[in-house]
Amino acid sequence: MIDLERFRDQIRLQTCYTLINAKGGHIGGSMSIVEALAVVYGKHMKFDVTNPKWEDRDWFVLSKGHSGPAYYATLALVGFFKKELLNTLNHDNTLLPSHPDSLKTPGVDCTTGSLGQGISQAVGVAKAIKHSKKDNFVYCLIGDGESNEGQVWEAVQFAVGQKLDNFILLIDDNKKQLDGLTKDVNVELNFEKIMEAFGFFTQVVKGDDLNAIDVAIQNSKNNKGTPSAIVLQTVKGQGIKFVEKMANNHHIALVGDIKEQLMNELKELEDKL
Amino acid sequence: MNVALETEKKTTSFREVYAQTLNELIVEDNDVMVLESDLMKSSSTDFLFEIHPNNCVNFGISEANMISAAGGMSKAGLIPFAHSFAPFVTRRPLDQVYMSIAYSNNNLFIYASDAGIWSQRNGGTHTTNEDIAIMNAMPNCQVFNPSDPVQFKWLMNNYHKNKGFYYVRGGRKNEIQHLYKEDSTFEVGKGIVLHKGSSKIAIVASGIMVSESLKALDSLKQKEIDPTIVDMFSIKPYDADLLQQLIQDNDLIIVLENHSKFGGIGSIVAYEIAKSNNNPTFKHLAIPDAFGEVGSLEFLMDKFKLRSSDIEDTILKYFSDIETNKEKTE
Repeated sequence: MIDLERFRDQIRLQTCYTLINAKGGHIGGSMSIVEALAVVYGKHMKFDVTNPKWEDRDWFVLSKGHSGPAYYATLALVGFFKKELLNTLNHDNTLLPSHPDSLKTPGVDCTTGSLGQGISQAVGVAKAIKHSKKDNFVYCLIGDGESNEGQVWEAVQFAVGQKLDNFILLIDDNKKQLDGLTKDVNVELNFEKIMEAFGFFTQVVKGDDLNAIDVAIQNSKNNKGTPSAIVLQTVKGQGIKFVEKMANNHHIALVGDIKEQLMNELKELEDKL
Repeated sequence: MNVALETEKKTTSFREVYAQTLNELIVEDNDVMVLESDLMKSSSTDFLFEIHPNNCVNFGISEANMISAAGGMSKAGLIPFAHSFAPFVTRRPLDQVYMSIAYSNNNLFIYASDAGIWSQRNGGTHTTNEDIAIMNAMPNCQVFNPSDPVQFKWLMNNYHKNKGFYYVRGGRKNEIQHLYKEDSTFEVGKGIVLHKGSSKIAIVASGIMVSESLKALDSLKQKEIDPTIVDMFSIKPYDADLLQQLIQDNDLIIVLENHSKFGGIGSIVAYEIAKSNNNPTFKHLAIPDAFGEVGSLEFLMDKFKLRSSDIEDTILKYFSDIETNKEKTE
């Protein structure tokens, strides 16, 4: 049985190392999904690192593809590829492009990055799994900012209409997007009400509470007849205090003082591990 | 390739071919999926939703979701066919087609119905004069404009066999004369010389324009003009060898197409002429840089000068220009 707290800290640490090595990147939205990734990959996902395309696996689609660094750290830690590869993020000829590419990276199920498309691909996979009469689950992680895209709501309707109870949607509700707070840029959505209204089995949990996320996923797996949504109340930059406090932390350069500050915070994590 | 020409009068609509062929494929292979966005009654696939409900999915009016979900289905091992009117599987969900299908190397057969002037009474909003240009520029996408029902059916079967990403545009309701006998086989990337002429004139066309070219041949023969007629249904990949041969063997090349003059077959032929050491005269009968409009097929063909008579006029003018030039030099 994997120690989820330790796994969470490892993902956070590896993601930051990866971003430092790349001299910056999408740290805010990567940090806010660390706990979700830890619970999904540490406890619930069925996968085989020696056979990433295993037909009887569960699927994970990172629809908010710009959080790739956290996804890559997770995939490396569970053993899809060596941790050294993380140092090649965004380098020339890398297997780890800023946005996930299923043709390049072992363990990546679907190519994402153009927002809104991941969730549609994921409902397509969930429908295909139903068609094949299998009992595997499809986990899909979207962002609250991403939900500006109309395509998200096309996919949501489809998941309900097709009764895709093997589809578990995780919503990173960190209240921020690239240009600022969601409420200032466009609108802050009440995902709990909206998802319920669409017909999803909906739960709201603290996005940094491993146990709550675990229970919510288990509840979703037990739910029949409708797709499930888990609204993760997160903080952009979650788990790294000085990044949490930054107003604009969607994508930051990690050089000079900022890099030093991050290294100092990471020392605490390192000591814990 | 094993092509025999149909000599009898025999017509089928593209939508009938689409639905009947899908029925055969589903019976043979449970992985075949029929995807619609609230147009199953327009493509005649509605009966498939009755008899094969597990293989048919109606997405409602959400083409972006349909295209990306098709990508997910392909990743999970299914063999999707998606239909909509041409603008709603190109212009509207273009980034979905790009990322979820082409870039992701997913399998999908897109039947883009009522492309170009086939939109007829649906008018300018529903007309695509630019779809070939758009899809040609997309890596991984194979582009076809089948010229008859037999070719259309062959493309569907060929996709099922070989997979990949097929963009196939054409008519929908209209009955279309069979050019090829039922058991003809074709090759992706190979053009078909329907008639080898003796006048050092070649006409290159695809889709409905092949029939117009053949009509022109009949009346031109009476004037002792005998052009070569080529069916270039496979637009990407295209038959560069055949085009180079035509450029070498002919003094006049005419391209007739149900598409904008930019980015279609005419652009390809002009490119091949530019690459060649030979320099035949090039005439292009295509839709100008203009939007479509409401009208019957006949009206639109007249308006955009895509008739067999326009081919004849072009050839006669070519000869009279030569005579005029001769007189000038004498």
